Amino acid sequence: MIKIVNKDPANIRECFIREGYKLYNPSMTIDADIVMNFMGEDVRNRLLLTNTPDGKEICLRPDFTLPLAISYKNNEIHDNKYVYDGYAFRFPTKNEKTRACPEFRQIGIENFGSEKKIESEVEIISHVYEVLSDFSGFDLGITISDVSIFYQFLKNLNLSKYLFNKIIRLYWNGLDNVKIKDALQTLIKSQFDAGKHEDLIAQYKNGSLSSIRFIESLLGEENVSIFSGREPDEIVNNYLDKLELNNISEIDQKTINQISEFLSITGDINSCIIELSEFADNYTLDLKNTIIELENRIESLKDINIPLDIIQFKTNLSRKAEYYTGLIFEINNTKKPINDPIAIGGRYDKIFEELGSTKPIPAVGCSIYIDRLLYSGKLDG
Amino acid sequence: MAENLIIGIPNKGRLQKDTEEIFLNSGLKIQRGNGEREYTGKMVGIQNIDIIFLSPKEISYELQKGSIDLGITGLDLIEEYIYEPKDCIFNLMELGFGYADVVVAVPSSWIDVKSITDLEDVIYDFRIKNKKRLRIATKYPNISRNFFEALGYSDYLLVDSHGATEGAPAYGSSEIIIDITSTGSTLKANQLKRIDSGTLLRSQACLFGALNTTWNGEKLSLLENLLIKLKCSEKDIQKFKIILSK
Repeated sequence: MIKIVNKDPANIRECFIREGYKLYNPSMTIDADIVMNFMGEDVRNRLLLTNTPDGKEICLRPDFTLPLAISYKNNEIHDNKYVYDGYAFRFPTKNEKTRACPEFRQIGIENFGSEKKIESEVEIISHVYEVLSDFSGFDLGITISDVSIFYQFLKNLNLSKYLFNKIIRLYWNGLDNVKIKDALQTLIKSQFDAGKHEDLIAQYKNGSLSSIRFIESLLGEENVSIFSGREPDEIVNNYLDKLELNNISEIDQKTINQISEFLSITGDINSCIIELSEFADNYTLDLKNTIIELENRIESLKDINIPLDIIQFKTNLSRKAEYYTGLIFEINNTKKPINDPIAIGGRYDKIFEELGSTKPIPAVGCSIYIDRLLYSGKLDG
Repeated sequence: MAENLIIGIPNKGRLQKDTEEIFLNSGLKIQRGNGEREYTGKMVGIQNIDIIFLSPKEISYELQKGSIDLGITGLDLIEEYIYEPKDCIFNLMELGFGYADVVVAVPSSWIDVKSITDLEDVIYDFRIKNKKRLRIATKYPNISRNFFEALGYSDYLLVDSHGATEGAPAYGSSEIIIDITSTGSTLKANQLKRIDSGTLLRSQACLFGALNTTWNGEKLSLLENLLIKLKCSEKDIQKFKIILSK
């Protein structure tokens, strides 16, 4: 059983070590391209960047998960469970109440390589929950969501690749439901002015024009040779997708409403599961497997004595890192002296493949924002 | 001792010729001391004015420092090289030459990119697909960064370019560019095109006044006479005086 006697945040780290997590301090700097690839817009804009003498761009670590995963992938470390305690770096946002400087302390844990998906997720949630409640004495609330439910939902809609990507991007921007709906409304209203090329388009669609010839004919030029790293097929498909958006019909307005309805599902966990099932039935969507997984996760949390009434569900839980693939969760002080969560975590199974690993490695973890924890405590009295 | 009014003038090329012409049209003849290699000069018939010939980029820096009182250079160079130009430089008048737009240019083959929002889609997809950011070659990194920051885009990588920026996509050192263009013919020759809302700055040669310099009564009256001859608007002259008095 976790027990914290002394109220120094270092005790949190020591608790995790006692639970079998190995202490590791990963590299302070990291290749900026890697970070750009994993972090949400919001974090990408607030990195501390610099250049190496040979012209590469690097930045101070904006979190611990990425440098830890890189060390693990490069076989520099071989355990499965890690704890870290140190500073990460992001310029603070204007709304940030708990710090004015770019560095902030994080203590967190990671579990790499466990195939027991739900077990490892529940373990992480419960370890962090217990340590935090023991340390802080706060009434804690847990909000959970699952990225894969949203992806599964979108797949059901049979959207064009262009629209699919656009929506995914809005989702990862961490926008709230209203803003996502506004952005989609603007999108279907905007017209892509492509001139009159019906004949060329017909020829392209019946296969008598190659992508390159289509581009050349459309431009009225020959020997078009500069594509700047994009495939002519990709350019033409994107062009056609955008034209398609010009002829938006009733169905698409329905789709927007559906997306908006989906993203507004929030509340206590049991009623959300019912709501999700009804939503899927209403629109004849296949969300069965993802909902069952959610149910199993909740059952397991119940088994380890986390009271269900503190767990909320929110389809549109804010997302700062694009590496999440399944579960995401936040832990808050329910008395809410600040809106920012004290701890954020989740599952990121694709992180190792994205980093170039040949085999998939499951990964789940959570970070505690020490500045928020202490600030929250101060105001709590 | 009377302090002279120091004016920085572009030291070569089209910009120098046009500058001298615009002064001449107002009855002000610039005389270079001892031939082409001399970097100082006088204004014929006017006492207490020193001319100093500098590169347009140096004129921006000297204006910022206040080591010259007036200077003629491109607005693009002020915006690019000077941090918070409003704090140290005042734009007295646009001179009507040296026109150049700083624009985003993409390959003309990108028929799916008509506007800056289309480009945003491509920038994002490019990173997802290639795990690398789209590269933008430019000699205007600061103007570019401010532009994209205002739009909220962060997925690009700026690549330094010094001259022949338009060729960068052709030899693969960048995907797109941000550069100056006037007629667009160089862009076209390099299979590039402008896009809607992709103009970062409309630049031209301007007469700038330095704020970090000492403006005494004598220098100010010299300046005022000069500006009247150049047909600078009375309103702008007064505005400059008000800023200086603060």
